[in-house]
Amino acid sequence: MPDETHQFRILYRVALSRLIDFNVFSGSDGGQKLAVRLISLLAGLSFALAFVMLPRYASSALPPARLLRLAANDEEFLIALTIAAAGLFAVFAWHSVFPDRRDSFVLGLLPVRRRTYVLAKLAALFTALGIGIAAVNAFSGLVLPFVGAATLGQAARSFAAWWLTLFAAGSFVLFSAVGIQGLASQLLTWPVFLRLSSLLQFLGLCAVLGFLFLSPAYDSHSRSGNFFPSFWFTGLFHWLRGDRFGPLAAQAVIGFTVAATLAGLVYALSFFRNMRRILEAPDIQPGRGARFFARILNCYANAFRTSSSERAILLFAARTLARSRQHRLLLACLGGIGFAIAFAFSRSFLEGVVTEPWNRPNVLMLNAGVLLLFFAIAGVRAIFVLPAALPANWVFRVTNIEKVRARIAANRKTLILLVAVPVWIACALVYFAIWPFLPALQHVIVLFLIAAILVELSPYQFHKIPFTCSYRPPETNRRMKLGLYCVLFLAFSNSVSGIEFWAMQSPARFAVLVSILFGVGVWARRRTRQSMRRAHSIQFEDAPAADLLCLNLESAPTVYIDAPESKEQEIDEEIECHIRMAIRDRVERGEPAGQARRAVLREFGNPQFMKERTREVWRWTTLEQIIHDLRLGTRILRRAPLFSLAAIALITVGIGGNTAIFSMIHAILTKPAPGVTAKHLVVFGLTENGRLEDPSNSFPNYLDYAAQSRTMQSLLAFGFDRITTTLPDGTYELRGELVTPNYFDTLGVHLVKGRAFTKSEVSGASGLVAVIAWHVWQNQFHGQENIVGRPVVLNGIPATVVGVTAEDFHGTQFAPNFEIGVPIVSYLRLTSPRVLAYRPESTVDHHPWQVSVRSIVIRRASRIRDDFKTSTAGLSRRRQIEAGSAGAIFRDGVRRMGKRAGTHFHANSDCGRIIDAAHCLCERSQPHARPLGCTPARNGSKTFSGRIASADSSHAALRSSGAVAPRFRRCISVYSLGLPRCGEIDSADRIRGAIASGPHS
Amino acid sequence: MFDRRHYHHRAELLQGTLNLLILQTLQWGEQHGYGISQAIRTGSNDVLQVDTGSLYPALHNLEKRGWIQADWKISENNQRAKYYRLTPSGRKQLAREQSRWTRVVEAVEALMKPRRSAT
Repeated sequence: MPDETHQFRILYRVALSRLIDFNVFSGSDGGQKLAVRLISLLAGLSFALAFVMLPRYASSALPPARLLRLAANDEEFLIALTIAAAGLFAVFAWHSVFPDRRDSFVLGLLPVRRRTYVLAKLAALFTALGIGIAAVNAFSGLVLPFVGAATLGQAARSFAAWWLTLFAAGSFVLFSAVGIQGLASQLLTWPVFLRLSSLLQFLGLCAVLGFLFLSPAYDSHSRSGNFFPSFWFTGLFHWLRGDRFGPLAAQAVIGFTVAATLAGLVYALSFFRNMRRILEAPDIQPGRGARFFARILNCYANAFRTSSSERAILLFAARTLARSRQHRLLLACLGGIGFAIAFAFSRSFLEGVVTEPWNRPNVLMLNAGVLLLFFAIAGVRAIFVLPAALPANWVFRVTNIEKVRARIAANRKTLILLVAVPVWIACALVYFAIWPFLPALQHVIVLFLIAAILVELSPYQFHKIPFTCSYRPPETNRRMKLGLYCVLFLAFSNSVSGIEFWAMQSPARFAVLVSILFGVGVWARRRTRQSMRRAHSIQFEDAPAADLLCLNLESAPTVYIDAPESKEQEIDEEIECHIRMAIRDRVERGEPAGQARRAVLREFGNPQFMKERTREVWRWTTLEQIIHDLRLGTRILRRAPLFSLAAIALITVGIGGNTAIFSMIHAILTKPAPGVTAKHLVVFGLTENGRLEDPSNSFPNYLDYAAQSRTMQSLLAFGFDRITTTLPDGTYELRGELVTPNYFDTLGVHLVKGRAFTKSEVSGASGLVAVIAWHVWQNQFHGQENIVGRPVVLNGIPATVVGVTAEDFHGTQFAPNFEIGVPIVSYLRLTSPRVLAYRPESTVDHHPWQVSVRSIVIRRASRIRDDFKTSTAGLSRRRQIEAGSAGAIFRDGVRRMGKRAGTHFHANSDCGRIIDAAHCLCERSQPHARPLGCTPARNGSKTFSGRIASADSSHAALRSSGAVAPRFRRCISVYSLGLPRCGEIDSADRIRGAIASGPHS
Repeated sequence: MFDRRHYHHRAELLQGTLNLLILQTLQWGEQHGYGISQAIRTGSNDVLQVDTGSLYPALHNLEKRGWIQADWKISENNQRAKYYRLTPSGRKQLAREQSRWTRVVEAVEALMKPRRSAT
């Protein structure tokens, strides 16, 4: 057959479009659009996953081996997701996989080779599957394989292995489905097979959802993992990536081979046998089950005394559900998701994650029932809009069901009878079986009310009869809205169940809950009714009727031909056509050919001019459109100038704010501090209640850590102080840092002039020395070359400048805090010696001086953590702190604060540290005595603010101690009301007295 | 000579009515440019004659706006021709233009009537 490739191509295209076209989705728009929409939906999911995963891996400081172990869990999840997607595809494409009745009727008569057809069908099947898998993993598949890959070769291998595994996993599922279906079709008679296949489909769906939701966390050694194909294929991926060939990988290989062989065999066989069987066997009639179902419903309807139109709608809905495979399948899909989620909740009991006993009332089990009910009712409501058969439209159109009341009642009764009541009864049975009578009864009552609310809400704005009327695929935003509702419900159902659990504790609360739910139900009913009243009639068409109808009464069959390639050619040809036709008309009327031609051309005018004008229509299209859009935009803006101005201002502020905040975040978190070698730098701190404390440590603690540390290269500490610097030409206030001698080495700060501190200078034996920042040298010292050795006076103490830091160094924090650096010990010894030794008895340490600890990591992060833990434990032993205080260290583990700050290690000490407020105030007032004393009390407010400002910083010192803060604030108010000036406060007793007596004494 | 005189008897197309006429013509099925011009002429008993110099730019303009769509086909007398047909949005546009036209006609009529009754 010469045209085999052409036939293949046509058959392939047809098969592919039929695979995508699940009828449910098909609408007025073509298959291509639909495919694109589906693919983008899946790719969006993948993008979201990748978006979640990427930061987890990109910013992790974990060692590669541990990262790989963590990644295995995500790998398993993605493979399970791929398998689920392939499984859903296999279930939905169930009837398109094998040759069906339509194929047999059409292709049996045509001169098409069976081989061509088989190949086309298989090619289409695998194309669709491949596209689906690629879409599901479009983004995440570009992230995950590269986790933990050190070299380019490794990354490439991992990438190839990942995609190979994904396709193998997807094909495995498809092969299994084809194998099972083929086996059933071979072994059973055709009608039996047709009946059974919907059951098989349903089971397949359950299996797919079950595997997705029930697979435990990945563990390559667990026994339970042997049952989950996603585990096998994760094992396979690890083997392909270069790990050992384990039992899981072996299982994957065996499973794949078996499934592929089976599928190949039965598929080949089915093509030889099925065609004839299909043609010979009659199609099945609706089952006897449906008739039985209908009879039950009839009884139901009689019992409820429904009107005839109500009964018609009710029976129609029930019959549709009983007969239409498609509706049942969709319902099973939605209900299956709800069931799986509900089951996943209760599963946590089986695994012992939750300590509460399952046979006592608890939130999770409460939630399971609510979720089940929601998904069942929402699922049925969702498939209401899908029409079952078009003739039904006409039947209902000619019958007169225009009464709004009847319609709402019918819709509601359908939902109640078909879904709400059965699910509610099932839930009630379960709850009564596992729980004591009273709580079970309470929950069943709540479930009843929730079901009533859902049933009342669901006909809202639904002006149709279930399963009839035309259906256009809902617009994106409506679908988004539906998804949003589901997500919201999932998010809130847990808290609602929590409230219910709380309410079940006492009868009064429960009564309140029930009355609230009842009120919501009444509101929902009224709302739905009002919406119904506004609707005039039943809506049968989603698409608005056309204003004019085209008749298209042409009889001659038309032959389409390709348009000329360019617009120029097209216009030329079109005009030639026109002239030819005009001449022909004239000739037919009897004019001589030459005369006709002349007449036509004369009448036509200048063709060149005309072509030019026509071409101009197409020229400058984009520019014109832009101008048009701009004009339209301005017009709209000018129509409501105030609103436009407000909007523009808002957008401006929004963009500006965003930019500012983003650049700040960028500077703080991602950019390394200028002038600092950020590699391996970490920051220690103590946390209380999970928050990093600031100030975080004291100098004595630093000494202890430095002495005990075995993993850190060097530890440095620094504190801050405002240093009044007196130079020959004036006095300046500089932001000073009190640093340990290894400050510059540890941070890797380069000194452009002079040197760092020597040992003798650190102890203060040879007088105070200082290192100044570049800009201080340039501004205050006018860039003098002989800066090293210059004498200065710092806070009244004579000192010598020994060095200048590099130009770009401004300290380690976002605010440029380093203007002058002095050795911590010698400076404090000269200014406030008490601070050096200060370490309150009752705490791990807490000190108003901001001293934090910095270190260089030379080994792994975990080692430092251990080290820090030991040191803190040692400290707390020596200081006799309660055992619980330092025990819960590193609850947060490692948290990265960006390169600038290095890594914060949080030690979690929850010992109740009530700091002696007065003591702290005294400590604090010492360095601030002078500036406070200098503030003239010209008027009340100024003094107040001055004192508040100074007190504020001491307040910051006490911020962590929640118990002190309120009292401390009171103390401040006393302070500004009439206490002596700060400089005079020297005894803790006086302040204690002030605190105790309160502000108004 | 005859042609020119004939031309003088024809009415000038009102500004902006060409689009309406084209859409109205295409309402009954697809047609090529020549067919449209003929249809307008015969439909108006030879009163309205569309100038081809404005017909084709108008057609292409309508096509660009998406109100009509074009296909190349073999015509009934076996010639290649570009057939235009209405799109759904074109149908809506036609409805709009029709109503506008009716309003204009009614308005003009209302203005003309008193004068007519005076004479």
